[in-house]
Amino acid sequence: MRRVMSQSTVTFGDIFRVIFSVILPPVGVFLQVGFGLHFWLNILLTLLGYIPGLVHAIWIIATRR
Amino acid sequence: MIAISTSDRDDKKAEQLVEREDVAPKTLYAAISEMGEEELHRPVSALWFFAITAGLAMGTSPMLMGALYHAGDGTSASHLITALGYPVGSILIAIARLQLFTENTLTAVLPVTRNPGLSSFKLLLRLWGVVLLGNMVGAIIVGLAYPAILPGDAMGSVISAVSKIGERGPLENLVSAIPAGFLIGLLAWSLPSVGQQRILTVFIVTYLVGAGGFPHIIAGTVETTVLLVSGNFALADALGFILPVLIGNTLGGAALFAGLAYGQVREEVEH
Repeated sequence: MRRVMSQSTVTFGDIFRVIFSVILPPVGVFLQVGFGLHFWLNILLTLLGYIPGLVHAIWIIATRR
Repeated sequence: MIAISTSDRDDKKAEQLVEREDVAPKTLYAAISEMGEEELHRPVSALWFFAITAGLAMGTSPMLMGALYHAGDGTSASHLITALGYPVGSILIAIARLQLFTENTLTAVLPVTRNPGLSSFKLLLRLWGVVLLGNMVGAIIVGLAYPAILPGDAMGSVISAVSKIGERGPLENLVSAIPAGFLIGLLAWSLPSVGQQRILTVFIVTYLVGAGGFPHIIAGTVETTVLLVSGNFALADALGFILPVLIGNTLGGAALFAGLAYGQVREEVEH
């Protein structure tokens, strides 16, 4: 039962958020946690050269519900 | 799990098989993540040396492409024959374990995703910056040296072989560079698991990139420099190629990484 549940947590929503994150990381973060500290932090990290912003976005999407 | 097994040995074997199928991607992820971790902590001087050498090594590709273009000129499969020269630079880089942008740089993103933080971001940007710049410097040096090291008619063949990069507009360059970034990234991901077939794997993937006409930033820099010094490209043409290709390659590599890293981190969060 637990296994079935854990499989279902990878949702289509997550997949879309990951795709948005690749194109523009803050969008992915916004879709996951809204306008919060992490959204602004992500804009800053994206401005630092895209990659930190992308890593942060993926991390947020993968660890937050 | 297989329910019926005739002996203990069969049982064990089946168990091993099941276990291996389950573990392989995880093991691969751990191995690549560890490789990436090592890349992150290499001294800048070593990174520079390996990155510039990789740029220089990439310069062998247009040379062979020029020779093959000359040999296959006029035949209907000319572009497929010419593309056979494209993998040579990447094969040299893979054998010598040099640093290539979108290849090794991508592996380093995995450990950072596990523990994101300012210090690891700094290391990551250092790696990406040094490798990209070193690769470009090496590629430009070898591109500038082309007229000096190649006889006139060979230079003519090289120019004909690489001049197709000027056929596309900036937006088309960006879009077609995405599969190149993805495929070269996939190569970095597959290499630790292919063992003996290392060279064959590099050949197949980079031939696909070359024959498909998907531009890669480092090989593209050599080609652009050759076209610049021979007067076939203006500076605006060069920038209209280099910048979109750099963005496209990064996006392609990022898409690959994003899927893999998301899957892995998600799995770790759940267990």
